Amino acid sequence: MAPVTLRAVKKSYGDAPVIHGVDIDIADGEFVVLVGPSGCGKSTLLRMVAGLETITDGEVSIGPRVVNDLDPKDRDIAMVFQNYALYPHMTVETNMGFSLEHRGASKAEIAERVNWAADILGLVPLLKRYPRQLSGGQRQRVAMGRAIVRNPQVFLFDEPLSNLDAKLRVVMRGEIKSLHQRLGVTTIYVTHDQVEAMTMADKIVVLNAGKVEQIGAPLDLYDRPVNQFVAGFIGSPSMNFIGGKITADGFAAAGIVLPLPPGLAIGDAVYGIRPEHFELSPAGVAATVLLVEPMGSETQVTMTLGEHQVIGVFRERVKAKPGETIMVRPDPASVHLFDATTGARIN
Amino acid sequence: MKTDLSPTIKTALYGLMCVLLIPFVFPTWWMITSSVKPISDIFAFPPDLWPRRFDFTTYGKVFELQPFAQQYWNSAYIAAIVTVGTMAFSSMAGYAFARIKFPGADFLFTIVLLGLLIPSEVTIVPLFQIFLKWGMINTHWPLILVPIFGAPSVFATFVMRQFFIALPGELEEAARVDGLGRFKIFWIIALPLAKPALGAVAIFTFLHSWNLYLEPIVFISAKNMFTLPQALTQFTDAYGGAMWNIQMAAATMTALPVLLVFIVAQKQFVEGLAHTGLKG
Amino acid sequence: MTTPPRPHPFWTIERRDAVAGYTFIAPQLIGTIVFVLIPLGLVFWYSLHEWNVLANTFTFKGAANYQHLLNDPALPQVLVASAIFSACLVVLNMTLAILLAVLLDQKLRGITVFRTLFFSPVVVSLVAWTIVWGFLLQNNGGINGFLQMFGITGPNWLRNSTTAMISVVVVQVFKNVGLNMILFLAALQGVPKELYEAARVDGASPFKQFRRITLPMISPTILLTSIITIVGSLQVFAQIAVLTQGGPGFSTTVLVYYLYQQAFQFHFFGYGSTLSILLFVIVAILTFAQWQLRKRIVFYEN
Repeated sequence: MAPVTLRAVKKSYGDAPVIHGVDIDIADGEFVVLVGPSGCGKSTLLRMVAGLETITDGEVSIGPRVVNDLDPKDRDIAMVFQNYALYPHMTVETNMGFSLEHRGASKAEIAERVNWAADILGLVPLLKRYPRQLSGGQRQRVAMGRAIVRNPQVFLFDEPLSNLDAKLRVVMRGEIKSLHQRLGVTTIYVTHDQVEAMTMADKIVVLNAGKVEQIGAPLDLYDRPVNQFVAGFIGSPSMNFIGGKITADGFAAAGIVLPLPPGLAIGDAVYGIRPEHFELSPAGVAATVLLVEPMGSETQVTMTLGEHQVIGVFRERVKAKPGETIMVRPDPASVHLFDATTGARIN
Repeated sequence: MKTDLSPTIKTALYGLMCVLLIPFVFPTWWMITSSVKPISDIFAFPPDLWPRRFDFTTYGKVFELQPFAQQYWNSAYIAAIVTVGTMAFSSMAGYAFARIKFPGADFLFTIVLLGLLIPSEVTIVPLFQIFLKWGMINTHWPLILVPIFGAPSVFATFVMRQFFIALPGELEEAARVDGLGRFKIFWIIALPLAKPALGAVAIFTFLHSWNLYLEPIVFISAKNMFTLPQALTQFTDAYGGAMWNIQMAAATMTALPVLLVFIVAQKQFVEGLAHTGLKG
Repeated sequence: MTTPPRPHPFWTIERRDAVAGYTFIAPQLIGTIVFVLIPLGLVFWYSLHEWNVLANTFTFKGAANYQHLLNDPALPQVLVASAIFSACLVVLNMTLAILLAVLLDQKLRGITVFRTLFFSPVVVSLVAWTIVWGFLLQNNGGINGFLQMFGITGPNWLRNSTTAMISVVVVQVFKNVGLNMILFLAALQGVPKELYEAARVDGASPFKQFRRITLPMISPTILLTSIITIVGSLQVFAQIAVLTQGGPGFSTTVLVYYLYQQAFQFHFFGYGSTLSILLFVIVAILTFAQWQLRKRIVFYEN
């Protein structure tokens, strides 16, 4: 186990820069999720930590060592790949023991470690099988088993759940998380799925276009996103944004004025409100219903506020039909305001 | 097309296929049966589908008239070396062109691919001069070197490259994380997975070497250096007439072992070729 | 943030990969250069010379051999024979291969046995196969014997210029049609079943299904295998040498056989080289055509 540090890390392919100087500190034993839209550079960053991509500039350290020029095998990391990368021509047992075998471990030692890992992951009955004889979830588990067998300093996960169906994904999410709790190994986990990020991470790194947008605990990111990108990326359904102006009377947008907390500077801004921060209240503003989607535990309503289409999520069962008007009140304390040009948070 | 067929149509299809089979199967049958007919019955009328008299001395005469065992060995060991050599060189080159980034790879691949445009029939004249200069006429070197490096091996390189391109990159990355270098990745991961393509390459290469005819008659003139295709044409009497039953015995001994191997392993054979044929 | 400069190792991953790459390709690359590309250069060089083996002279003659090529009275016959041979071969081969593939694609018991038998000549030694056919095609041989049983007097197959050509084509077709048959079978099995089901719902007859669905879907395979077959037909040598020695007359003297005669029977190495260049140009044009077609048509390849 070891801390991982990225210092001003850059990556270019030829003249095209893809990572523009990233600093991340990962504490010993921390579970960090790199999240961002596709093409944001999160996988590239992970592969640079793994040693599968060269580092154009900056430094990556694992523990006290700068690992820039080390081979993947010398970095003491283990990686779980998106498509699992199990060797098709080897049994589960051989797959799991493979890295130890090539580091000169004795047969007894390999057997002991493989059995230990198989036991943790419930793979003991599958040890003699070949990857093609396994289900998706089982393959995923073998890939994890292969990673933990060696007891590395750092685990790297590259979108490991993206090939599983929705239900299995939830199960495996829990398994990875409990594995981390059990072993306490520093983990870097890449995903494009913000739900995975929120549920699994100790710390989330939101990346966009090769830059870090924000680093923080999941709920900090949710509650106080530093800019409009993070605000929109974290949370589902995503935050509603309305462009307009901060005035003394509230937030003035096309066809509507919304309440604001006191003490804000007058000027152009973007008003952000999460769907669950609307409540049904006669004291609210009028909204025209476009679509009602009952989920059982809650109701999602697509509606227009003035000329702006927004989504609200309500605890109540909303009975309104499309075209009808309901009164909704955005909670002023939960409003996020962003600079109209830079997108940076201003409240 | 794949509906259940009526019995009438089925019978018709079986009948059609049996008729079509005649030119594919009958020559082999005729070869084997004629090889045990005495010379006097060889052109008997009406033709005998089953020999009316058996004469197994033909097989002995094959070995009396030619150093046939030596010739058989020549063909076998040359084909073996060519097959193993082609598999080794083409899988190595195919792997490098598919999976390793190195300066000039595309240019060098084009150079190698040019070999596909140049069958050995085109270069047979200078090859003869080269091997003459090297003192390799009447040796087996030309029969080994020309196929191992010529158009058939270039084709094999192309087939192997196509296969390795389709191999998931993650497997190699996992192997690198597991501590393997390039040579070990090739040997332990890539090559074992390439068995279908290697099998097809082996079949093509073996048959090509086994059937080679122009090169032997150009490069080899000593009887004990002959390969089988060359030797088969040599069973003639003093007047140049063919000694058909002995020739058929020699042909049977040449054809039958490969045919039997094929029948035993026909599934892998045919599927390997179909798979690679489409990609190559 | 400043860090003390770290010493970079010389053997970076890129450098090690480059060494591995060159090592892996070295045998194939050097071999191809020595045994294919240099000989190609030499064959062109030779084609500009007159090479007298007896006097051991090697004289530069410029384009004289190419002049001779244009004036060689035998060459038109050779080219016609080559063209007839290749054209007949490819047409027969393709037709038979598709017919057999369609038959073998049917749901019939024991179909793999038929597949094995139709394919078997591919693995029979080429010269053995040719010799057997030569034996069958003798004037008093098996084929005429069977014809005689039905009161038909067959021709002397290998001694008549028309039937000799038919014979060499047929012998070659039956030898190798199994390969194309297997490729077509794979192509047929790659046609999505839904297309046939949709066509049946639309009421198309089996023949119409074949013409409107099967043929278009396997057309890439048809084009590619035709060209591979044509290029292969240009290299046919053993069959001619064993069956007809190019005769009667020049009727079955294809280009490769003529080249062999000129260079190795008559020792006209210069002119033989010129014929080699001609063969190379034809093969190169056809192979380029194949690559272009592959790029245009075979969309599922990378």
